[in-house]
Amino acid sequence: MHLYDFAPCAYFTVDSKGVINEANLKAADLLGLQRQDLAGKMFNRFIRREDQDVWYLHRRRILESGDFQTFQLRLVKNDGCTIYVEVQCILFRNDDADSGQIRITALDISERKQMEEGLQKAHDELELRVLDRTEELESRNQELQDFSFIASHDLQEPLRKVRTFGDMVAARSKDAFDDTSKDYIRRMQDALENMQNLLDSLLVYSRVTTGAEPRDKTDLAKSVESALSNLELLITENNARIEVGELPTVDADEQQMIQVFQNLIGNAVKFKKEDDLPRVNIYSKKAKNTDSFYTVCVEDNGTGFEERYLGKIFLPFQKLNSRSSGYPGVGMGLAICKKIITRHGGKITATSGPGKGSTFIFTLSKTGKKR
Amino acid sequence: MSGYKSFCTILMAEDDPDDRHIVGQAFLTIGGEWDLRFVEDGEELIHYLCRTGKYADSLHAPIPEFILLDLNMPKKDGRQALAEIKADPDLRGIPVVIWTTSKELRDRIQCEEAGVESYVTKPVGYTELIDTLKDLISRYCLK
Repeated sequence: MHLYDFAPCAYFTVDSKGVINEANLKAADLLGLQRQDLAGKMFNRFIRREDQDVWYLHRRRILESGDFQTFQLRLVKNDGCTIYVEVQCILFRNDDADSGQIRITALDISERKQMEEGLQKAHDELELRVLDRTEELESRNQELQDFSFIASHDLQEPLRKVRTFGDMVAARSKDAFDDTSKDYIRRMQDALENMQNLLDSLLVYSRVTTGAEPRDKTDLAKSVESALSNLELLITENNARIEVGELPTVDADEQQMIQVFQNLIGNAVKFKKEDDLPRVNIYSKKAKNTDSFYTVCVEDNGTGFEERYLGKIFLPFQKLNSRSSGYPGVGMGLAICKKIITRHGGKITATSGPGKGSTFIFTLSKTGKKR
Repeated sequence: MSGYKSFCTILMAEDDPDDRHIVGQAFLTIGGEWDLRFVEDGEELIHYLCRTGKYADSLHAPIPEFILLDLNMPKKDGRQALAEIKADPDLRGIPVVIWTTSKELRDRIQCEEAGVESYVTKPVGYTELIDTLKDLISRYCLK
């Protein structure tokens, strides 16, 4: 009996009706009571209201099946505090089969529970903060989208008018203006045209993510064909030779793939060396079955660039050449490519060197899903 | 401009006074005798074509050779006006040219489905604008 009384674990002996027959010192201590206060009392008296069902369920199970039960309960101490206990029950059947004694050991796990709860709380808070942050980012992204769309769409109207009226002034007053005035008007018209191009490309950029989700089976060879047909004038003017190797069929937005090839091939021809006819090779690297990506390369023999600018060239409105260098464009082509490729779950980069030509390399997920 | 009907009526539905002015000037530059008329929104356009309201007198509303129709207008926009014109057996024969800033593919498709004859994004340069109008005249105002 000493073993029972002084065991470091709380013991209760409860009859089949749930009345406490016996409890050890540790059990009384656990509930902040004297042993004599426990005997004869219903065990459920010390269980928190919310956990009563748990106790009834397991008591019924053990009485019916005799199977060992283990579960957790919240008990209420004499001073009103709640403690968490891990409960294990075994059944001792008396001779008459209807009655039996349930022997309960209860281990105080309050400290562990508190830690778990603390951890859960911290986890929940973190989740909430992540959720908040995600929502904030999404809404900022949406604002940016809206802004780009408005900027590129609604600003076209007044810009168009300024250009048209400018043209009208120039046409009407041809003879009235001196050369300097004519030059100023021409500069104004050029600046307006540049602004128009900026807005047009901003519109294309902002639309990359507003279009439909990429789903279609797209034959990249056909996309290249369409891109080449859109670039026909540029290609013939520059006597460019384009070679197209084998290309895969991928799950992607066809229009956007055409756009990517058009921008990359267009750049390859535009940034040609002065003393060399432009040559562009388009091919895909052989993908192993285990690879989850296709790799596509657009390689040229053009001017190339220093690789330390790699981080810059894919950003919107970034150009490596000055406006006076004579290269047309507003610096949105590669930014648009990057946005499209990223949207398709791929990556885009390049290898290059001054005078060594460039190879733009992008990947596309075989399944078309975002990573 | 020769070889065209003399004194053709061209009706432009446009709420923007600048754009009305630009097109008016363009017709002057093109030369010839044009009866260019303006309405300022879709509602007025339908009144004109159906000769109701202030257009009850047919002298004030000769049937145009073609209509230049802006898409974004107050009261009744160009899309709705277009749908009404093309649904009306008396009006659907009048060629309608959408004259808009919108480069939205969706707008173009919607208008083509509604049976529009031409869809033009307002040209930016004045020379280009004149060329576009000449092209429309040669298409819809032949003798």
